[in-house]
Amino acid sequence: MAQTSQSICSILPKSITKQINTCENSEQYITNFLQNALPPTDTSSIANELRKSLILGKHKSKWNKKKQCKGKLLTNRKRMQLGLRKISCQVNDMKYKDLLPLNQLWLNYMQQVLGPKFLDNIPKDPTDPNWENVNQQLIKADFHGAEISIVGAKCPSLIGLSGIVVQDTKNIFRICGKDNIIRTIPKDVVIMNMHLKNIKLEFFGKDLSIKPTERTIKKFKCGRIYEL
Amino acid sequence: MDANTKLCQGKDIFERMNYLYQASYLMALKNRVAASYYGNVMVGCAKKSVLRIESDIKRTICKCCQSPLIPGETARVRLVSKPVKGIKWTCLTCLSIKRYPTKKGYKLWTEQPNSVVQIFNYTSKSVDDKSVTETQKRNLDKRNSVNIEKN
Repeated sequence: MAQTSQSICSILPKSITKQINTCENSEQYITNFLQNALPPTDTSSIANELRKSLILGKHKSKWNKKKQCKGKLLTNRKRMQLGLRKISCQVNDMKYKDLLPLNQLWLNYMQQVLGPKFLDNIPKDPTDPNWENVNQQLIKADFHGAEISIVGAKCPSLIGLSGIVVQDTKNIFRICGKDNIIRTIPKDVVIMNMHLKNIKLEFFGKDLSIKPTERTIKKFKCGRIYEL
Repeated sequence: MDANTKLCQGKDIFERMNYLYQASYLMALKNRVAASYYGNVMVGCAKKSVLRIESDIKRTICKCCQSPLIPGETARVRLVSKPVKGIKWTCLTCLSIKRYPTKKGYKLWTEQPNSVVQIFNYTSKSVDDKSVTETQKRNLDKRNSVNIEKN
């Protein structure tokens, strides 16, 4: 074992390195090689063939090109080229187990947002004085990492899905279910249940269909009911 | 809510940004796309509501793609001497470069003692003993918001 490691570090013998010679004039080398290798009937057309320029050879694909970014915010198109817009399960495997610490972190965060007293007295009907206040805070909170299940929807196949929110955009929730599959749910056609430890909060998806960054300033109006 | 929370402007948004920052670091090694997305939302929140991020925190996320920079994992850190002596950070997801010059005896304005005029402590005394790091980070954020700069 020790001998092999020594022989790895030693320089190659000269008998091997002599055979390698780098060719400076690569075009000359190619024509020489072709003249030797091809049958004599084809040698006359070598010069013609080499002169042809390949149109697609110079064309480099715009996508998948790794290029240095300047120190500026990426545009959405650049983000797409780098593959940073869509969280999908095929490229890098997302496991439900990996998301559990995120969910735990989210529960702690929600407790901080809503205050310690929230768990004891939850406003149950709109006449409660705290009702509007709590709604305002909920709409401003972040939903990445929340556990969600769908109760009602226009499309019957969506009902009953549940999972942890991975991505939250203007019109879409991406959730990761227990079977490690990421599903896309449109926001404006569903009624969702959010699980906060033992409390279930039910809300319309349509209320949330704003960009997550713009939701921080938005004023929420109570008492709207949407038709599904 | 009680009077204490109303005093601090943008407290809920600071909390949200804090959560997103931690979530982004949590997902950094498992899923870089998610980490970058959370970073992006965090920066967007700060922009929308015109709140400043502490410069120490700002330097740990990539300026270009907003993914967290962990030396050795998602970033390459080198000492360079050529244009000016400094530290070069290369983000490995988008290959963007950020250089921080190192000057002897130089301190950022926020690190200098005369930049801080007054520190308000908004953390409620009775509750916040669950996670020490969380409150510390939040204090950093908050202190920054409250700094009233001279001149």
